Amino acid sequence: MHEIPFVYNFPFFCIILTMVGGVIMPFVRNGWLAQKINMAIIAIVGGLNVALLCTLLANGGESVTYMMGHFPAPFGNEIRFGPLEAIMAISFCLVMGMSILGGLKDIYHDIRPGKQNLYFLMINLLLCSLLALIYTNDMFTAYVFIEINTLVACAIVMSKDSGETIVATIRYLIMSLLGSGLFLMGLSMLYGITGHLLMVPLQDSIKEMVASGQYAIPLTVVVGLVSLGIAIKSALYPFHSWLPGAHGSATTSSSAILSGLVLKGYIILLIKMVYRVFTPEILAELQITNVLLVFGVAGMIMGSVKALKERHIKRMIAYSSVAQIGYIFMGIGLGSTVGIVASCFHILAHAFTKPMLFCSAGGLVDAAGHQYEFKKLRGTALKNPLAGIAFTIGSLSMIGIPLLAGFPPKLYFSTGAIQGNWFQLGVVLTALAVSTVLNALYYLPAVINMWTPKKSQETSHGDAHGDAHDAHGDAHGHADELAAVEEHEDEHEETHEKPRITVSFVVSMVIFIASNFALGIFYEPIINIIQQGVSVL
Amino acid sequence: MSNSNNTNRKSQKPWEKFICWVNGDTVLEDGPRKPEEIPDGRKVTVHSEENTIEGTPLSHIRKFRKFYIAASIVICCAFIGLMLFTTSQMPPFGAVDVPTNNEVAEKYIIDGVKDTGAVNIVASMILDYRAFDTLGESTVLFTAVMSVIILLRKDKDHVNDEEDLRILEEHRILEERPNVVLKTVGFLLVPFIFLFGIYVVLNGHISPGGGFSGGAILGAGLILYANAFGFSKLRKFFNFKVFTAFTSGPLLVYAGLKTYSFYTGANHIESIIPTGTPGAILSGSLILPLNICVGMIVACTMFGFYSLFSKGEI
Repeated sequence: MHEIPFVYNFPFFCIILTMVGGVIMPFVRNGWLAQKINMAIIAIVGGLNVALLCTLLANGGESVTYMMGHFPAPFGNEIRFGPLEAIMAISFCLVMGMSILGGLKDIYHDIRPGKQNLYFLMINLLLCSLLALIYTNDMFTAYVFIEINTLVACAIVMSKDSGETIVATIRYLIMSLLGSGLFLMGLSMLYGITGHLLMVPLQDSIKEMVASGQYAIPLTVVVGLVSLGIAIKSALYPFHSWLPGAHGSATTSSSAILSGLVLKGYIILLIKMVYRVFTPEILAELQITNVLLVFGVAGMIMGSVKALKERHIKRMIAYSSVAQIGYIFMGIGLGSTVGIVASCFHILAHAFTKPMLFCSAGGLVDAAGHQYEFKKLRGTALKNPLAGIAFTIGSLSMIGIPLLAGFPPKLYFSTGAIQGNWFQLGVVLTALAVSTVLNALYYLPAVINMWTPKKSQETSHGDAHGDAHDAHGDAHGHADELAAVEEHEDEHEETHEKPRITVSFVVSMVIFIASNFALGIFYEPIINIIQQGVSVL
Repeated sequence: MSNSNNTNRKSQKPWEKFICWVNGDTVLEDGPRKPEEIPDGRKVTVHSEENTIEGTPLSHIRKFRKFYIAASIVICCAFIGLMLFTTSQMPPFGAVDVPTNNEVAEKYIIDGVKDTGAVNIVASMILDYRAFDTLGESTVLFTAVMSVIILLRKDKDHVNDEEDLRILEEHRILEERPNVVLKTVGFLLVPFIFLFGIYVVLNGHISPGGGFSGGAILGAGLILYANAFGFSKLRKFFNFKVFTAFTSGPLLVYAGLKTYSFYTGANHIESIIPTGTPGAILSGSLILPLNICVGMIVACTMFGFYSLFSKGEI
């Protein structure tokens, strides 16, 4: 019996800690206290994972299997973690904490005081389920935590009590349950043809099965059902219809967490399954990778086209998530290690950028008096400059400007495509180019719009007058830039109260911006860790 | 004002349209633009004399509804066909040489009693071999009931809606004129239901049953009691505080107990909890207390759902 280092208990501690943190919340009646407890737990979990990552890297980037109980592999539950899991967990904690801080004002505004503690209950359980999805080495454990994740995700959408969110939640719940149902069906069939639930024995028996040619059709159907289930839950293009409503109508923090983390939890599970259960070779043989590639590319283009049409800022950002999820699936669809590494990095880049966009949009919307239309958001960046800067940086990062987090994954996607076959090369490079242009097309107008001062305040009731003025104002704004901006700020905005910018918002935005630059500039070490993690998956 | 607007729109050049679009206005392809009549913050806005939902005109939605019905039928049939075909290719159920008859099932059956001390193999699987999954399942129940509380539980300052008042009135009338048959049968049955539920929970490790089934029986008993004797009587001993304590508490105990067992297991430390004599009531190491915890969670969840959906309150 070999001793395991104490640090290797940390993933298990993290899961239990977040779960207990969720379960005690009904006793904490005060929303403020609940938020502090939640923050403390997120910080502790993040810290534990940093320690874990350091230990794992010091031990040569190994992947560790941790028995959940007294019974080894095929009999009892297991979790397994390597550098990839650890770095994902760290980022998830950081993003979750910053998303909460960035939308804190909105949480207290949108959620009834009596239910704020339950909101933080859900946040804790969400972190718990995400961690479990990241660490799990057992398909059924994954399913159980997918269930928790589904319920919690719906709960954090609906906790903002309005008709719109209820409609969005119902839609989300139905689609999400459809996804879980397909996953469960696939899982039962997989158990039927292999007799295992843990990932490693599963892989062995699948390899055996493929070699002997037995149960080929059920295996194909299983892979299809599981991928389809996860695709629905992570809003891959044709199954994205629930996303804009759910992400667009929820409270700021919920939108940030849903798009930044919840979608990613499932994708990480898919990546783990690709490597640990089905193996990339078998998937390529079944043409599943090509299917994912095509759907991913379709998502990249169509998500952006839909975003282009959208005039509601949060829904636009939500559609942009559809496009970004397309990128990630495209990377998985490349079927090569480079593709997967790029996808993993894109998961991080998107996780750090999209919540920043949502939180800064929350700040801008707040500055506009809780109005979501672009027209109403004119000049709001001048009222809340920090939010404006964060939104601008987030937009540039999503477009893929160098030095920002969105750039390295595009570089690696292209590398992966060049190393692949001619089909991948053509499709991926074209899609990347088109998608980048489209991203710029819908993000830049929003940015220009919010930095352009509002000129027609007195006349904004007369629609015709206002419109003509707005159009003129924009052209003017292009030309005159900041001098004009400041002038008008002085003239018109003084009478309006400035939105109160809270300390938590500042902290959140600064950390988001910093991590965005960090990911964009110092991406080499992170890529190395991911590569190491993928190699031992 | 509005007229000049229309003419403006019609003579719009493409680049002006583009500027409009950059400005965040809705660019209209055709038709006059109606002034915004709907107050701000509402989803439905009027464009070109047509209602839209999330930007899609209603007429489009109507046109597509038939297509959706047809498409859903086709997809369902195709899916059913695929599933039936796949099932026919699956290993035959119950045959001797199927993949599910492997060393895992063998170990559970042969070593189950020795490993866990529980005669009921199902209990040994869900609460010992794969206890982490069951911890997750209990958390699913907890999450579900808490989500319903977020959705439906009324705030103290929020009871004067007409709907709420109507429901309260209905319940008051029902409680004033109780159903004699229900009350008598409830009086006779409820004690036995509770007793049976507790029996099933406590004997989960030595006979079929356990926390999930026993908890469901207890929950049914609570619902029957509430219906026969009224929620106000039930609330004397089962109010929201007790409910919270009985849902969160057992889950905390479960997590605590299993933390010990997972920790010792993973670090290869011998667990100090004895397995006991198989078949005795105090045996099966942690399975008995875990069954009690699961039973409490399940009972509270069932009753909580019923109560919240019928009254919006516990």
